[in-house]
Amino acid sequence: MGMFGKEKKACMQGPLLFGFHGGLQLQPNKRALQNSTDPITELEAPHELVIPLLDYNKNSIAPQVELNQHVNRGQLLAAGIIAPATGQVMAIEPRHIIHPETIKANAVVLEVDKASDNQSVHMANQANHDSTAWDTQLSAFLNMPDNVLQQSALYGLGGAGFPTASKLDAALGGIQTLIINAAECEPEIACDEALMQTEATHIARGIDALVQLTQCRHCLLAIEDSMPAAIDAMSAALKSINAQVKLTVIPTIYPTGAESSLIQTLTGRFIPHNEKPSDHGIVCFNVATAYALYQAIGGKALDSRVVSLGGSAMPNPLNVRVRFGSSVEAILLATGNASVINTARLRAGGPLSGFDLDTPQVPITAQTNALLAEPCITETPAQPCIRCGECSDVCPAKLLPQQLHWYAMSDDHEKCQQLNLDACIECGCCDLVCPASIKLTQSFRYAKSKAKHIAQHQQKTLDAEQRFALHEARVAKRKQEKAHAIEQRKQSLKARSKPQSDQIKAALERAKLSAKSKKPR
Amino acid sequence: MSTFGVIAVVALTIIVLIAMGALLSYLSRTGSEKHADPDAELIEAVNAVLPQTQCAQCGYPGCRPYAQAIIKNDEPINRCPPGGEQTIEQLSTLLGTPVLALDTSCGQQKPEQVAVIKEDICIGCTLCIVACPVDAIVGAAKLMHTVIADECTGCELCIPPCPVDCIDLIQPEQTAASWQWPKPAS
Repeated sequence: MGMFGKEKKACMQGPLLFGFHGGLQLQPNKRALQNSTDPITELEAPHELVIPLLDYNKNSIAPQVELNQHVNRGQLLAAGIIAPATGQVMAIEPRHIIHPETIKANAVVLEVDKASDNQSVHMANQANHDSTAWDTQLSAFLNMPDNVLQQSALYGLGGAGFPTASKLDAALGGIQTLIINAAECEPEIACDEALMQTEATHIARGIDALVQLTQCRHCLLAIEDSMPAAIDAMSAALKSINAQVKLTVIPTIYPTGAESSLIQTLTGRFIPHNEKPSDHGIVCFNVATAYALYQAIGGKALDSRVVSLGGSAMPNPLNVRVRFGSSVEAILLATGNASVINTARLRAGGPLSGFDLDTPQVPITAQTNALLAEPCITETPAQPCIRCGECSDVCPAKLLPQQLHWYAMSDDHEKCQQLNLDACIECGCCDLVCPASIKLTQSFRYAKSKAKHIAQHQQKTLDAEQRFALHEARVAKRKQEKAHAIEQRKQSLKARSKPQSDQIKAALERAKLSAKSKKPR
Repeated sequence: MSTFGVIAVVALTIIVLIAMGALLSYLSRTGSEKHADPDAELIEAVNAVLPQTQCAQCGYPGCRPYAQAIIKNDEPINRCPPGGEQTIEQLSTLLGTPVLALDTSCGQQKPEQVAVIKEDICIGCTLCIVACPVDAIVGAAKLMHTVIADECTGCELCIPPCPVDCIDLIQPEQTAASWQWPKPAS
């Protein structure tokens, strides 16, 4: 526990490593890699794919396809979202999304055309093996990176799912250190490890492309010491293409894979939560993102990912490559894990940072790195805090979870802000060590989302006030204009009637005169 | 230094000081003219507490006019149904007046709501557009109108003018962007 600084382990190329506060040494428990001889099993696209029309901030975006339209694999469905398979748009309607609570979002429902989809797989595989084309493809990419980035809909595959193009945009120019994150520190998750074992050369090329694109001064690939096979594979692959990448073996401590912890481990720099690594000349990409970039440069958009199936109740744990939009249910059925659907507690993401699923009828996204099945057990109810301080010892963000929990539960958002709640990375270390089984992380998630909601509401209120003021001003202006117009009309009528009366007077006078002149007669 | 010199320096100092004093008093006067209304700040503070629904249930044509009435005419602080208890409490803390129960003659507090136009019934009369205090309805004469849900405050002012009764009030649906983590049982 938290012995990082004291216990520096022997590293491959002997770099200096810095510690970070807290963290836990957990059993890796990577079941997904234990049983199978093949690290990654390719799954065929299921009958139906559901692609939610949401952007990175979970806001709804408009579809660019129509009902019953035939779409090709890689075709744009909406801004930044592509079709993961060839097929027909069967519906554009609200569907359940992968989420801690059952929630719907507008989604494109795709009926996969198996025959033409298999053909697209075959063509993609052929393109992959054509290595002579790589150099031309790479130089084309380096000349016009935007083309590839726009077409391939790249998202970070580490778990947060940040759009890669935006990250690269911020990173271009002024990047000193490029960090490739292959720490994969959370138990049960083994998708990056499996990918490194099977696709090392391609990953190395992807990393090399990132190095050349960002023109960074140095590039570090960080792998935890618990994955020797991946370390060997990557080391050989980097050497074979002579990439300017330093492979750094780091101790297995959770949550080293969190961006802030990894940067601190490798560079000794602490980046406050409200600053971006690129402000400090650092940019991080997940190792699977580097692989996705390699594929994108070769013309294959990001439409699938490796998901680790694990957890103590999973009968057939393994790593599978699945298309985005495949339902959890379809994945479990296709891998011989159907029995867990009604008997186990299903979880998306890791055992610490993930969340439980209410239903398996939800589609996976770029963020879904693992699906776990755990036995249904009644949770131990929370006991009163005994103030042991274990939670603050393990917190990688150097927070005071025990105090924060108190303020979070009493809805004191000001105090939460003062104690820097926003810096919490929701790693779950505090939950794991709490002897009183207090749900600290959930209270922090609650307080953070509540604070966000309050801020949104305040903004809405301010906007309404402003629009009301504009509305009132417009109504008043119109009223004034109308009054002015009426006044003007009155004036002009008066002005017009004046000569008329003059004419009448003159006529009357003429009449009088003529009457006078007639009288003597 | 001659006596004359000393007198001249003293006189000059006095003249400069008088001039500076006059200038300062002039500046402070012109400065205070901008804040002619001593209640302006207080009205601003009251307005900030009000929910900006602009529903006019308080009897005033909007939140700011009600804020002005509270400060200028001693209007009671319990005439805002959308704000409910929370707003009354905040106003009482702000103004140092006792907490009152909501004046139900103004209306009842309701959960968050937004207006939705049944678009197949709408005849495009523009009456609701005119009635909306926050410009949250778009459309043109003889063309279908629609409510911008994000901008609707649920004030209900568009309901009475609609000649074909095609506006409903619904509770906004939970979306992925608006979802909040539930509070754990303590």
